[in-house]
Amino acid sequence: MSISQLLIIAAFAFLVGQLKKGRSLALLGVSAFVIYWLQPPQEQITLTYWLPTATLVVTILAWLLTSTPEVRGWKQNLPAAAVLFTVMILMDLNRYFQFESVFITATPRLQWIGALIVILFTFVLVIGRFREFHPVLFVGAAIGLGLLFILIKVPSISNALFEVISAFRGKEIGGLTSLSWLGFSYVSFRLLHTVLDRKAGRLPSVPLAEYVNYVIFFPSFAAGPIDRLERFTHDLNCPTALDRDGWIDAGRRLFLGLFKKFVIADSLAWIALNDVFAQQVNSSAWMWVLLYSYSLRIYFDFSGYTDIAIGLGRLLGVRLPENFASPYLKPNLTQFWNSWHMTLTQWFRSYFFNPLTRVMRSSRQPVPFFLIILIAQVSTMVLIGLWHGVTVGFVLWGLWHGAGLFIQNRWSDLMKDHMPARVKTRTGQMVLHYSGIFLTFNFVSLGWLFFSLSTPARVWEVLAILFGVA
Amino acid sequence: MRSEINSIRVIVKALCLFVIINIVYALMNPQGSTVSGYNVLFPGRTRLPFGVAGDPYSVTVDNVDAMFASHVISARKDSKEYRVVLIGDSSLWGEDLGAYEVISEQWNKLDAQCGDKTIKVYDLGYPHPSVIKDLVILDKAVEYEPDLILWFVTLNTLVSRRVNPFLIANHERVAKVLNTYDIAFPQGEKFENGPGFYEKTLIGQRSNLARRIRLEMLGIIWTATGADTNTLAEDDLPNFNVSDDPRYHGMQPSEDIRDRLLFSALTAGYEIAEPVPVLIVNEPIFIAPEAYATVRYNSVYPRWAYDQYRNALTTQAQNAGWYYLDLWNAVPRQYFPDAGLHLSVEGERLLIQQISPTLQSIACVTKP
Repeated sequence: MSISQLLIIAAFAFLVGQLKKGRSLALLGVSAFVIYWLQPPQEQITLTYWLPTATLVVTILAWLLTSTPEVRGWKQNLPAAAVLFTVMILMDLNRYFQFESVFITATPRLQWIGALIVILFTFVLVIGRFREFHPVLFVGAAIGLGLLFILIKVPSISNALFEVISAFRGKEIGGLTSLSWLGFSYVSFRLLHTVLDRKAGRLPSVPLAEYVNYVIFFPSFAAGPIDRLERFTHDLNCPTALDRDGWIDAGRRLFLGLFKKFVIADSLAWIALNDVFAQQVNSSAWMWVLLYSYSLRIYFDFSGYTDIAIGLGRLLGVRLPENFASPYLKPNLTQFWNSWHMTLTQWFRSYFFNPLTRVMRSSRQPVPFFLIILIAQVSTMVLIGLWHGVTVGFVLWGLWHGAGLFIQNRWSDLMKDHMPARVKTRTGQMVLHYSGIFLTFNFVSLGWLFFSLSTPARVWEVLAILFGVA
Repeated sequence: MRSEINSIRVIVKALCLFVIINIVYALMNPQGSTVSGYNVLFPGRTRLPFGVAGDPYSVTVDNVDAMFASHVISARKDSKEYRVVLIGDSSLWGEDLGAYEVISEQWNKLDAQCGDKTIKVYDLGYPHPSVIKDLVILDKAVEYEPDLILWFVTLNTLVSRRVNPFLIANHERVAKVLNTYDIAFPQGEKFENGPGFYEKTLIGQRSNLARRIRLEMLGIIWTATGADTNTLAEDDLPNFNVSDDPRYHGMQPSEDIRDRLLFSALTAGYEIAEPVPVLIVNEPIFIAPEAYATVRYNSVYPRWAYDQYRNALTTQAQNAGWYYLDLWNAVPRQYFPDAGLHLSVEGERLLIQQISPTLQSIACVTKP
């Protein structure tokens, strides 16, 4: 996202936030427009239209699955459906408007969109009459979302899919080298949260407008944080007043976010470790400098976007959850992961780590505690790694952190009873605290090698230089 | 205590602050500042900063003060140093060569002496073929106490009157030099009018400011890697095939190119440098075998235009009594990786060998 795009989005947020009536629908329209507007151009040009459209369609279907008949009323949801379909049609009509700076002009033919809307409309109408869905459907939906997620993260699969479509249509449409589906990593996790919570009977049923607003809320659409539906809809229906404190809060977060992202992170990006620099750095010390630059850059970039999202949300009266809490100042890895990309780790804790440990604890064959911790932490971290992309590097990154968390967990357990007396003094605690921060920061920084470098072989070469054994 | 806030007033105040900051920035014009981490925190660069899109090592900063501030020439001059500055275009800057492969670095490795002084060479080449650009760099270079100036020229240097970003970014300096020595302004309305007030504001200068900050940040990469570019030449043999198009800048062989040559800029350079001697070098070019090219020497120059230029420059140098070396064919064609004007490392070594005797004779015989 460029700074000018962010300023336009801030203006949208301000204007929608000022509305006394029709706020939810206006927000829906703006969010739907923004997901088209920000979608990066694709090699297959019409995909630039179809990907955001698919986001809306999948979201509507997920709403259908997770809502109760009480909120599926025709009159109640017609305005929201009208807004969404209008945005779909207007963006498609850009082939006639020719606003090239806003969206692609090579959009699909209008009859395709018309057919899609009719089919979707009919489907919702028919399926909406069911009072309850079979539990298998929820599991199927969760698996389907998982498969979609894999599709966008593994270019070879999306490429193969395109070749199949190409053969089916009898047309040479070319392959795909990559698929960039804006925001879908986050969208899929929000949808999974609603599907899984609905199956567990924990999810409040909300009308279409609230549900879609939650999933594609434009301040947090592309880079999080991942909110929870019940919390979000509470704020949506009872927005926090934009009083003096609200203004100061929103302005502070926006300014801080813009500064972090566009001044600090973008400046650090010029000197952050990458494949090109890694081949020419002439000393271990400078390699550390470049690695630390990468660590700081990734933090300021991501937390800057989060600040911007929270600031924009504040303008709209929605308090988005925090995503970072000074993670690099934490004295151990567990605390680091409790303060880095918090909404993602909470998501994995709720929907993977906790269920997995519960299953292992309650298994008939007793599993040793240390093994439960090892399996749960390593598999969770590997999954978080895969969430970033399906590559060997991300798997290794997950293993690195999973192993680190396990070792730190066991070490802390051991030290509870064997802490030397001199460490328990005030000075000892202080030394322990600061050395913990130093070790944690360096451990995390070394883990970023798997992010910043393209191959494990290069990671190994850089590690050798870092530790002076090259 | 919570109270309502007037959003219009917030916006008006923010706008006022924004306008004030922009006006103050325009009046202060900090782009010309020579404050830099180079030569203090980081070693100075061996050549002026110039970047190509997508190259993570490099950035283009057109402001001549900022360019010099990052260059090793801005470090203090040693009393035992005989300072030689080289001025020219991309072939001198060292296109497709590493920062420590440039001609000045190879020259300095020779550790040449002149009496009790060590000859230290500085590469101030910059990749725009423009004698006016060279003049501005020369004008700036004399502030750094050179003992000798080597000015590398070629036909493109003396013909080009195109307005380039360097000339726009240094409008005041360019205008001063051109007015003082009565040289025609480059064509182009944008240049003639100079930057407006908006261009001087923080918003107008945002891109230049970002590139200036990036240049300073890249000091870390420069120190860590010793590299200032990622686009290095590959060891391919040059392509000898050259087209038969006789035109040069739209001119036909029947036309006289001498009217287009800006010799007045070379004369101005001599006057600016006074009393420092200036050696003008007609830089080597790739000469394709006649079997491949009868009309042109290479993809850049048709034979008729280049021959006219060379004869005119020789005559001009003789008439004006300039130090002049015509090295147009001094480097064999295999040392031009791009089959044009840019030399390989070995080509530069050959060039140094060709120039060194003349340089020694000027530096060690002629008293500066």
